[in-house]
Amino acid sequence: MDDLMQRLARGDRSAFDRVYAQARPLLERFTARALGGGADAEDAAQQALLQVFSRASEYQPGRSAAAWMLGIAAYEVRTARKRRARRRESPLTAVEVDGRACAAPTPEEHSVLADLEAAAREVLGALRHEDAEAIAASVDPSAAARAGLAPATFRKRLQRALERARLLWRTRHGHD
Amino acid sequence: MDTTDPLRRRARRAYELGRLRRAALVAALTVPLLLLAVSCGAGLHLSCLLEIGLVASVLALVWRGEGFEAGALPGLFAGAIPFAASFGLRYSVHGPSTHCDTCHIPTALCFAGTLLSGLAAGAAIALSAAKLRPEWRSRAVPSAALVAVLAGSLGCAFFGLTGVLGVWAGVALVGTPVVIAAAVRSPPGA
Repeated sequence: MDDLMQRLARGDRSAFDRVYAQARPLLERFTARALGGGADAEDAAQQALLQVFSRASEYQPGRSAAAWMLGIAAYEVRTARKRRARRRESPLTAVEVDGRACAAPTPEEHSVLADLEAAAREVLGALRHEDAEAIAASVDPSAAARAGLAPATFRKRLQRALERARLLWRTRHGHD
Repeated sequence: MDTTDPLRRRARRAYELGRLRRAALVAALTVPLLLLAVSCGAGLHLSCLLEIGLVASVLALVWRGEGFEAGALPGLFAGAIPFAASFGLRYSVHGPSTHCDTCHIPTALCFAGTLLSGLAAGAAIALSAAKLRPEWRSRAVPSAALVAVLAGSLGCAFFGLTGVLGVWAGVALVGTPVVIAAAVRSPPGA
């Protein structure tokens, strides 16, 4: 591989196909392992592959071609991780419908989501303090444990709280 | 190898663009030569024409790579000899403010000066060719000669077409035998 990469760096196009055939699986394996597979790993592998060929002329003889390529791939992996972290930090950029991730919402969808959130907060605010607390604790199970309630008691209390919330919602907004 | 693979096509395009970027960096080295020549009174039209030829040659040679690329930089350095020599000749006789119209240097002297500097450039190319891989010499020497002639002519454009012809003749006189020798000695298939 080192010799082929050196030839490519000097402008020998006949080495291109063989370098491509060796570099692609190497980079795909590396990014899949580093990012746990999926679309992010594929994107990172493609970006790394394009960078390797774009910067082929910068390859210096004597260096390990595989290490040089993996250095470029590692940078792309870091970029993919940052991108993934940014996606997690901005929850409104992705919406889940029936458990499936959807594309980023349009401004109209964003507005509808904000209205729904405001209505839900209003209904929760109108509930008795104990009911609101039970619903909030259902999102965080450890909160129920902290409150010192037995699981069966908590389930009963939550069921009653949700019934009251549903009734209140129907009274104010006309439907479930 | 599947040549219809879209990723392979993108990779090939990225490779060619990368080589072109590298070529552009080397070609950028020639811009100061043009600015220096024009600011010191060389004919604008002739200088621009030579610069266009020089940039195009360097871009093509470095982009193509291998022996062609190996000749580009030595050619630029060799071309700097007639470029600098033309400055020396002009300034030693007249100082900085003289233009060709008012210059009293005989045309024969201009030709001789540029011819000598062209010979020196040809010798520099021959020396640098000796350090190259044998299979590259038959391509590197003509490439270097082309670049040296164009870069040297930028300086010798002070002396008009006479200066340009002088440097071309000088490089050709030394360069041609070197090219022939390299072609004869180069291994088959190179």
